[in-house]
Amino acid sequence: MTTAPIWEYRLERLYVDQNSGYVVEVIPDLVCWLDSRGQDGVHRFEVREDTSAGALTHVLDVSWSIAELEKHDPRLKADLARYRARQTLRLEDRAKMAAYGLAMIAISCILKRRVVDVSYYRAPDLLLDTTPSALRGVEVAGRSGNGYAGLKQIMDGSSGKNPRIGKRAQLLEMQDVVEAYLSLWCCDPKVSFWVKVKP
Amino acid sequence: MIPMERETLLREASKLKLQGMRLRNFGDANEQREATLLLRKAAKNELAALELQANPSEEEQARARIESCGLFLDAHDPIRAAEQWNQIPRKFCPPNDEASWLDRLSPRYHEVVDHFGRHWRAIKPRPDSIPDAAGLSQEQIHSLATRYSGVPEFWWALSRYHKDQDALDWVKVLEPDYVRDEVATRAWQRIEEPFVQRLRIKVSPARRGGILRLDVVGRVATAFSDLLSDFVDGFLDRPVELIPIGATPGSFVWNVDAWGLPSYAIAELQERATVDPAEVGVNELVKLLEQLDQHKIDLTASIATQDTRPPQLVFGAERRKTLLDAARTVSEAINSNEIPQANRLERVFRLVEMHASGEEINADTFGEGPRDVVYYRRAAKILGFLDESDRLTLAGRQIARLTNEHRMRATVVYFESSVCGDGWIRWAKKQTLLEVEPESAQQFIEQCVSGLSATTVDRRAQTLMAWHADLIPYHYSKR
Repeated sequence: MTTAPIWEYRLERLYVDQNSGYVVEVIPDLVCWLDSRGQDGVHRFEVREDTSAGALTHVLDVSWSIAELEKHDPRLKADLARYRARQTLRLEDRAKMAAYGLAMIAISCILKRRVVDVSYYRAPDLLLDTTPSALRGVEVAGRSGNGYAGLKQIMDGSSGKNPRIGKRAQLLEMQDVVEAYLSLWCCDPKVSFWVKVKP
Repeated sequence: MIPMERETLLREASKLKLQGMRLRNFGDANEQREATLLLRKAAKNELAALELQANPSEEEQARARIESCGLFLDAHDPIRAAEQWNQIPRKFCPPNDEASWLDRLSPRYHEVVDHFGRHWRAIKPRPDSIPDAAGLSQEQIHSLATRYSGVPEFWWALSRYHKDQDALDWVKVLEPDYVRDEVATRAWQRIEEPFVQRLRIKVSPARRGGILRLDVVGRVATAFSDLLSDFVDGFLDRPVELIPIGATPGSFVWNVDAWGLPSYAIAELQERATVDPAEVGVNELVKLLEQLDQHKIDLTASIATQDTRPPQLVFGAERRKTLLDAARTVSEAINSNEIPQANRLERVFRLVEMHASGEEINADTFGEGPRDVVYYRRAAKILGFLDESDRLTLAGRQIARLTNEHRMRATVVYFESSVCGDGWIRWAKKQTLLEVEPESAQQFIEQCVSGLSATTVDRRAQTLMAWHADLIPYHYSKR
């Protein structure tokens, strides 16, 4: 396995790299997911990328300044305060929204492309091209724990009590998706998979 | 060439989804309402974008319907969600391979729709008609409106019959057309439509002048109900609830409301029964066909709202004979409803205890989902603790009064002598359960049980392995 140079990514930059209308909505969840206190900080992820030359490990340092982020999003502080005060109503989609944010960072760093659409209930989640019958996109997942083993299960599926087909197989089966990637994130430990599924 | 408008609608929908979800996650009570609006609008944008495509492929239709269905669920509007669900092309529905498209949506959809069905039916004074909104109490409607805050029909009923100004303001935003009472009244009358299929089941004597006796009609009704329920549960992986709402004499016609039945299920049953009877729960099929054959009765079934002539399912004289011969040749297989899908034996015992003490058993009292209640009741029948009419058997009475340890010891014997346990032991060429390898459960089901999807095979194998692990420490041949 090869180790690539460290990516240092300021979250404020995501407003430039991606559609700011999408970025503004995912950042509060991303900040809360990585730091429950909602403070400034640096969070280091190990990102494993499958390439044709073999596995490549990136180190991604995500950092932010709440004051800088607030310039793009006036209600950010209020949302973080509500979260800290446990006044927010539900947590179930937090990991999903946070993973969208992290995947947008990965798309910016690795593909250097922009997300054009977001899809909640159909794979892939983040679309790079919505041409009918020739979709291109990135399927995303976020998990709070279990590290690479948990992410691998999402990727390759599981048998057992609630058997699930893996996301990789699902994407391969979808005839109308011509280019697809997986971007999977675990919060503790902070690890991630980036996998090109097709072509 | 993709119309620019379509892209604009999709971009707007993406933004609305993310805004809505952020408000769901962080917003206060007022902002939850705003989230409902945003998610509902996103769903409508998805559908409008689909409308703009000249000849959308099945994949494109499925994508738009799946996404809008999910967004309507997030907007707390199961009615619009169900309308979209019903329009997902059949290719993407169980038992087809492409059903994995629904993986993300399906569990959430079924959970919400099952709950909605229960809450809605709870306010119906009669099973065969839509309740008059004017006759419902404010409390009844308010309870539905707050649970399903994205359903404009409930807010309209509150505003119309209980003069609730807040409800009226909300209706105006959710569905402005509903300020016209005639529009809202029509919508109210159609609330049930997306959730229920009205079946028209007709039995008639094969010969002119033949007479249908009540006991025979009753047995045919039971056999048909068993066949359809077993098929839908095992093959389409859904429980179905069949509620008779009326009958007319002569040729005997039942109208039955089938909650949870996919609209294509009857046609699918006809097709599968013809191609391979092993796929539809062959023992149930043989039971029904024997009843029809013995009493020279024809049976047809159709979805009443679909004007289908001829009916979608026909067991007439000629077909009855052919099918019966074909079905008998494969009826040695174990019926899928003889295989339990209820992992925890202590919950089976709890259900038996509740029966013994005369408690009402439903999802709330049993503390599991509605599907689980069905599965645990089925497990109690498989072990012989309940009979097919849900009455406690002598074995069930014994289980109810025993201690936990003695229950397990007795259940070893009941399971070994059940169709499932006996079949597993004989298939493994062993003498008792103790000698059977638990890991062989999946292979046993795959080889010996007909009419189960791959997912259901796996789930039921998990149950057999769990029961094996629980029962072996209490096996009678162990010291």
